[in-house]
Amino acid sequence: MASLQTASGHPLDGTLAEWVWLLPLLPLLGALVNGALVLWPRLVGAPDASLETREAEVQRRLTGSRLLTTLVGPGVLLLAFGLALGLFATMRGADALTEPFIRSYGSWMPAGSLTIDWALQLDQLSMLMTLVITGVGFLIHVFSTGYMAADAGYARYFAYLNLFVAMMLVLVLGANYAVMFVGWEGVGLASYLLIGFWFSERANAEAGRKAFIVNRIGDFGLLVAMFLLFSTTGTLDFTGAHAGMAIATPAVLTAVALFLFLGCTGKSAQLPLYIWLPDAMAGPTPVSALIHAATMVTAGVYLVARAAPIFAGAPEVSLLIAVIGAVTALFAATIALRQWDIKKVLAYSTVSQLGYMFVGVGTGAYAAGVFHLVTHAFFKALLFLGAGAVIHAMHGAYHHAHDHTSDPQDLRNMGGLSRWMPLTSGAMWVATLAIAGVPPLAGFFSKDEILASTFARAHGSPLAEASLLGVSGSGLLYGVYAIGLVTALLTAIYMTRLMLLAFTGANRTGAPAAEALHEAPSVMTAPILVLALLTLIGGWLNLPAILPLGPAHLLGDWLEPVTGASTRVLAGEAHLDHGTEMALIGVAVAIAAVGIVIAFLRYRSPVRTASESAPELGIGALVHDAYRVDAGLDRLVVRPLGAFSASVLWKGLDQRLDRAFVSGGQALARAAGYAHDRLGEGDVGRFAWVITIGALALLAAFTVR
Amino acid sequence: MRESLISFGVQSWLLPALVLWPLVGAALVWLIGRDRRPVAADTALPADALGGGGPDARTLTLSVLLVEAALGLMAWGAFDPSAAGWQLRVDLPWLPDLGARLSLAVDGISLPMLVLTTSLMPLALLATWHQVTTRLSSFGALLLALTSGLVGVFVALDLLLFYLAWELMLIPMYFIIGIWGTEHRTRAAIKYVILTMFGSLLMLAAIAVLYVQAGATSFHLDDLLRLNIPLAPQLWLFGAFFLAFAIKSALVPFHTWLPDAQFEAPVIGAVVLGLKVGTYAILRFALPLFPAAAMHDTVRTVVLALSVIAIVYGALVAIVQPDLRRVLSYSSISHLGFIMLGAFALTQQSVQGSVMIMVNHGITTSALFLLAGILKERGGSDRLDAFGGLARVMPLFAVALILSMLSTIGLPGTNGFVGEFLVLIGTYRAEPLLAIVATSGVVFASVYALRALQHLLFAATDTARHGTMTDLQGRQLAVMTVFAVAMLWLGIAPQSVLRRMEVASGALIERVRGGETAFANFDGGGTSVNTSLTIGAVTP
Repeated sequence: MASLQTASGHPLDGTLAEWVWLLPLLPLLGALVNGALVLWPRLVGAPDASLETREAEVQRRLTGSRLLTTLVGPGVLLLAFGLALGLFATMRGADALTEPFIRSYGSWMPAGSLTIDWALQLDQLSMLMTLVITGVGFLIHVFSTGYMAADAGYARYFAYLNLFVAMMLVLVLGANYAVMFVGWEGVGLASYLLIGFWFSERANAEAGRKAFIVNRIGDFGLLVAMFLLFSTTGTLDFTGAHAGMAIATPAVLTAVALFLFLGCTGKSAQLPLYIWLPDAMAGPTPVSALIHAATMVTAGVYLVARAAPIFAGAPEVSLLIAVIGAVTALFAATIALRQWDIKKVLAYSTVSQLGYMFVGVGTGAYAAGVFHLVTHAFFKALLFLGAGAVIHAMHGAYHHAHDHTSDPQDLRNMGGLSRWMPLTSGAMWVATLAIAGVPPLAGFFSKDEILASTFARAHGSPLAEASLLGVSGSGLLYGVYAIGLVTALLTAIYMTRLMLLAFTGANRTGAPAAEALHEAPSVMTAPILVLALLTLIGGWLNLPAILPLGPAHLLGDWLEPVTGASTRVLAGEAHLDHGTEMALIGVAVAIAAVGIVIAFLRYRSPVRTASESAPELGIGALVHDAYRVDAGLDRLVVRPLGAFSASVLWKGLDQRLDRAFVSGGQALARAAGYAHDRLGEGDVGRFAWVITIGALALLAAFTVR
Repeated sequence: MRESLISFGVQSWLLPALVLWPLVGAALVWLIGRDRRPVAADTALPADALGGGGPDARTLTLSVLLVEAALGLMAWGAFDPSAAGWQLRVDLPWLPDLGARLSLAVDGISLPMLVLTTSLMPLALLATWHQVTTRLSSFGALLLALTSGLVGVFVALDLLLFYLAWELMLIPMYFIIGIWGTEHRTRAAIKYVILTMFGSLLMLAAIAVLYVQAGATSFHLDDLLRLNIPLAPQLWLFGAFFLAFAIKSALVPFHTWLPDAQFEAPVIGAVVLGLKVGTYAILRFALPLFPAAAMHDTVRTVVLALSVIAIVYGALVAIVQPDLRRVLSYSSISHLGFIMLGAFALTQQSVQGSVMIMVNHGITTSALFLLAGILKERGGSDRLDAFGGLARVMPLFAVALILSMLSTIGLPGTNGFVGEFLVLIGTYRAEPLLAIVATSGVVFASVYALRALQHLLFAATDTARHGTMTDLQGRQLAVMTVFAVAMLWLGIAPQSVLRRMEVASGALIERVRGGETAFANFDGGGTSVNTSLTIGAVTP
């Protein structure tokens, strides 16, 4: 593969692009250094001392290396981001970058006709993802040095976080499905470790376990998709497999696309596999920002864009993706309306926004979906970091007041926080307006592009011609558009609600605690402010041509070599005239405004603190409990499966089988006239000798002629 | 490297040495090895406090095993990956009246198993150093005899010799479980022996039939491969061989002896029971000797179905086991399904994957059993509900356990992924539906593996009970480091093993699939080079 590229000559040959391998290696080295810092102190020490003494000793040794962790953890990310910027400049400077730059670093799994190389691929899509991962990742690492400063597991935290970034980079830079899968499951592992970071709390470890297992259901789909790809095209390289699929039958294309998408629903928390993401909030908040908002959960969106040639050949599956995206977006948004935990609101909001991204890539507007991925990375990372700053302050306040019962994450215990945290509050308002879709913030442009292209493709595109379960594609797409609008309204409401509850009105933290409230240290506010800036200007990455604000479609043009052809396949003849497009923008802006106004009217009235609130009843409680899907699954799937394994398979079948063999064996032994009650008696030696001699006698009987 | 080894003439003595050296060692340990008095085993006593003369039996056993491991590595180095057919072949007269010969050789399928076994034994002994404290000279001698039997199984070409080695594995294992095992050891040992013995007698009968068929002049595999056996007797003979090997490898429904044996045996015995001699024998003998039977529709359907059932069944039952070792046993039963599936799917990827899993399983499950043993040594049990929060007390142990579990469930980047992925991707080409069902095993595997981790490592620590448990140290830490390196190395760079088995796997598929060309075309490289070869290079 790589040699082919070299032979034909690639514009990036011999440039900085040759260093692409360093991108995942840098954070991997960081993970190794931090991992060594965690484990090294354990190797030396008095084994007989009590746990407390040992832990104190380990902490003493770790203090010495704390500065090293602070330097290495974010440092490797800064280096990787610098390298990514350099690569980006190199790519901008090169002309005719129509083919990906691929380098193989050795053979991984050669078996017969199967050749899988450790190969990386630099193209416009992986470059963009790399910039987001290392850039936003660096900011969150810096934030973490403040947020986790007092945690005993400081080095362990950065070891995991660095590992995550390394795996995420493998995921987006891999040049074939198998290497991508290494990153795909690798980020899942990092996520598992980080969700359960505070593992002494059983619930945290349970949440990590749930995330891993649910993701594995998705990974099952991805594996089957790979088997299908290999048996159809004979390769798992992106370029080769996608070229091979161009001549595959529609049935195979549909099957591959479906199984790939099953993988996406797991990683990107779409219906029905979204259930792990809300629980994943058990991890430290910067982890939620990086993994469960900005990067890992968008891997499914990346995969659909990466495999665009396959999805473009399967319009029914693309329609299904758009429909599932839309339904997930609405479903999660309704739940977000009723959450009191600040992180839960943001978690369901993330599920909802991921739904939008899938509407984008499902309708074949790949650039629009990826655009929303990027802007969402800015504003949702900001919101989570802001929430982290709030929780940090609340936690400190309750700690100060020796209050161990009040929940520092409950919105009902906040209120009026902007008095103490003006920077955090201001930045989060920017992000709130962005996610609500207020122009000219980043979220407005990306969401608008998704909705507009959905509307456009409802007419005159292959998607509109296709049908799903007997419903015409055109009707479905109008439905998706309508759901998208309703979700936009709900988004504006629940986000404004969160802001009003947390930052405005009277403070409900309680007198002794409130006096300890404070703005986060600058190492935490600085990344938040940088993200606020990105949220303000992010929309300029991909302006619509219709608004005279600057150069249009920068991101769309950048991604053209990767997804352009597939976009055109699914767009077909679809287009919007000038008037319609302006009207759609008008509707979107109006919806956002209405949502914010509704929230102001509804949530201005004072609320009670968490401890004073009566439990909700009826529909409200049902929504608050996320429609009790978890409990239902537990009752319908988890417990029956466990009971089936325990009583039917193990105690029933397995042990009965075992008894049958034993009694069969006893009968056999009796028939042979020996050992009729030797079983269980312990005359081991004689029995074995008899068997040995018997075997030898048989041997002789057969062999003597 | 290879050249220098060949220039020593290793090909003429290496394999006999590998088989005989442990036997010599066994005699030495038994005769001159000195048992330690059963005092507190951990304290280093001055030499004069130890009973009797002569070298310490355990140290002597370890030395013999280390030499054996070095010999195994020499075989690895002397092997030519690109050459077809038997290598390091030695052929000496044995029982001239019968035509039985001491015929030993390796190919790309047996070599990895051989090296795995010889390398594993000293590591396992080191990690369980203090777990066996009584009758050490007998224990060492039996362990060495067992090693000889294992090596013999992997290198014997003569079926009579193979049978002898097969039984040589059985007897020492019986004693090891029966004498040094835990509470219900006798029952477990007898169950193991009766079932296995039943199988091996069937096999012996089948060998006798083959011998007579071949004119009663030779037991040599190459000679027997030349036989042209009609389908009906092939089915019977295949059945006998298959049953023997299926019992030995604990294929569902012949698996129930395994969890008990591995639970009651001393940990090092459980490790050896985890070695996949049964499936190796299927690849080596059952498939190539009886190709028509193995490709027979009904046979194939039954075996493939049993394999897939084993994968799902083993994983589901593993989910509800109360002890770590029983979780591991049922996880082995699940893995065994993958090995069988790959072997009988008979595509280049699936067969190579199958051998890969045999190797990986040997590494990963051994590491896990050793960790279970370490847990039992320190905490008195390996019940999942007896612990919690051990990650805080024993972080190094936790790292080793997590890594090994991830390897068991086939996380990419670990060795476990490579084998499973190759089996599944290869099987999909032949049997897509079965491959899809088998793939669901990855979900259930994550359930049982993470459940075990959850119970043992996470949640609150009972500091009063477990606060003083010591982490991995010294010997055990070193052994676990070796395992960790092996798991990652074979996960990231398995091609050194895959390359060695490529030719032999291709030849096997060619031999069994015979006229069928559908898969040969697709496989380019590996098989097409060897289309003219049968399994043994000597055959003209």
